[in-house]
Amino acid sequence: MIDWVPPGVILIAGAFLIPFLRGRAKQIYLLLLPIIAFIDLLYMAEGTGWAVPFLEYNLIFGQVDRLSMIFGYVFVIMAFIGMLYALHVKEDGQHFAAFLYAGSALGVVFAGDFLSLFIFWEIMAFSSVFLIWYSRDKASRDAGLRYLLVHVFGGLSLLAGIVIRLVNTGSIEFGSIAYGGLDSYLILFGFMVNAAVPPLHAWLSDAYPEATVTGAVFLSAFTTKTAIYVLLRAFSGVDILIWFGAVMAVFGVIYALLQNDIRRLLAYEIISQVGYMVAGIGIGTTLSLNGSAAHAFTHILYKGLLFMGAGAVIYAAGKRKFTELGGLYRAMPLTLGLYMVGALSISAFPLFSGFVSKSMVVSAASHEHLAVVWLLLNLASAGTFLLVALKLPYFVFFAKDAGIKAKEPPANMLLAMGFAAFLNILIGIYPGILYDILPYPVDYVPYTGEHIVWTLQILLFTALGFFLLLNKLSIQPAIYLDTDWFYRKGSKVFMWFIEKPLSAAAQLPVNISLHITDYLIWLGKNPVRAISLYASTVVFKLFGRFPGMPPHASEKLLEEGWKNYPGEPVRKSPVGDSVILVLIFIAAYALYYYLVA
Amino acid sequence: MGYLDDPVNIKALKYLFYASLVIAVLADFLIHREKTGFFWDAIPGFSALFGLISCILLIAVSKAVGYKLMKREDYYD
Repeated sequence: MIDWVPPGVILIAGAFLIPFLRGRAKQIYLLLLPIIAFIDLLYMAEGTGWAVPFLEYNLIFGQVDRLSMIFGYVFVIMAFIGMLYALHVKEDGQHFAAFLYAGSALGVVFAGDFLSLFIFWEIMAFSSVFLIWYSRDKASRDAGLRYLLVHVFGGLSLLAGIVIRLVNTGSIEFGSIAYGGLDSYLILFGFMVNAAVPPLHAWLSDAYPEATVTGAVFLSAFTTKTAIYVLLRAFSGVDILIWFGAVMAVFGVIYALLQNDIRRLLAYEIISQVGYMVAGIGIGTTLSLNGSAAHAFTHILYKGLLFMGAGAVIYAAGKRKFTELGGLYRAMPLTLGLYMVGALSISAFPLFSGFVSKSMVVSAASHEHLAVVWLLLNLASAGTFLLVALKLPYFVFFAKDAGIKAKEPPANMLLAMGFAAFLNILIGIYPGILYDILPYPVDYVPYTGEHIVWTLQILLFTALGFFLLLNKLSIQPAIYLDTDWFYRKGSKVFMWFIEKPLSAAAQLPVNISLHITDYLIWLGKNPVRAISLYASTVVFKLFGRFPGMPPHASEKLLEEGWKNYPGEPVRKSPVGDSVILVLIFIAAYALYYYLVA
Repeated sequence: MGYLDDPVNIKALKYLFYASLVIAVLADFLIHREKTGFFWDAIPGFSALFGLISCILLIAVSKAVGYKLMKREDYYD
């Protein structure tokens, strides 16, 4: 007897009722759906449920274990927070897309087979893109299309891997995958596109800043973390992920430092933070895998909070660039305070959520004596604090007053931020509530003297560096090339190739056949005379005259002969050309038919 | 008139910040170390230096990268 339903189904099916509700009832319904899904989660029992026979396979919509549960919990919590934040939005379509997106992310998390996983994977891409497109400007339309194309590309790689795997093993079961062999490479590639592992990351930093204020909050939570979930399940302990993760942690920070758009800075910071999780998956010990799952959990909460804070600034001030913002702390002190909770959480400041999760991955690197990885991850930690807790708030809320008239955002936005901030502090103070739901038993104590002092020293001296180099941090109104250059400029090269050389080459056979038809028409007017003209021309060229005639008379006779030939070589209408081409083909076909049949 | 418009407040914050720097480093000499994974874990004040150098290094590297890759905002239009 199954007394629960897959939570993704609740959100996806529930979304279809949104257009039938109005006003307050709709708002209550929007908040109720994730709450129902959360209660549903509490009733879920470990094991395999909701197996649906499809062709000769079983689609499994309820693969429940501790790993899927922790992602289930945080996805549903984030769906609630995101919906509360978006409650003032009047367009049903945005809410619909958000629920479809969150629901399909939950679908991936509880999928026990590759087919249903792939279907939810694609629904995620196609629903989330609307959260970008609802910005309704050219930049978001273009960025959304690029986002979609990259995800379709990654999805195709995943599908190819799934099919090869199905042929090789005869199974579509989704579980741990032995690394090695084409199928595993293709599947890993598909997963890494969604995890935004460089150089496959540019869709994220390209598209997220163009999303709607409320849409970006959902985007920051689901796509990359679903990828972390599937990597955790399928590829834990794959060594190359350690290096991908460590490099992307630093890469994200360096690019984030350059950005002028506040949400683009945060988008690059997602890449950096996901790097910790990817590295943790690569290390593959219980501590590091727990760390990756825990960090995904806290990351969703604090990154959502940061995107909500940045969104509140954009909503209230109408500006999104450092060069246009400044001095907002007077007008928006609540937003600043709530944002700072997220900033201290992401920086792993003691008593905030990141402190208890990020350190698990870093400690795992230390236990495995991965010195370079450890140094890179700590470098990225310093950079994270520099960016998110110092640079962004300094230039947005303090620094030079940009003279913007702004006020605090609506109550629902502040409440959503407040709830996320509360959870971040709660986890920071009572890490046990998070550790209890991690996939493996936890034997890790975050609050030791050495860990606290160590962290405070790094962070405070990073702050010292920030204030010393403040004048070097001036932000340029510019953009910086990233790997999206290859398809943004590459597509222009591709289009040039199609328009110029390729279409010219395609025109060539047409031109040749047109000349041939022209000639045949000309010839057909009087073939006998044409041939005799050719013959006399050849004779004239050879001997300089016709037999028994002086040269100039011969030349004149020949000229007149050509001139009197019926009709000029004509330039006809294109219709005439095609008629003749058709006639030629019919004649050729008739001939062929006659000879062969 | 915001809190930070008063130079007295700014000065107070500045001293508070310096004091916290000193306390953090001093504390590192006093704490008990249970596990030392790498040799630098045993050096008091190492992470302070690490933080400062990281900050400077990241800013310098991003400046260098940015110098190479900077384009006008309408580059892709």
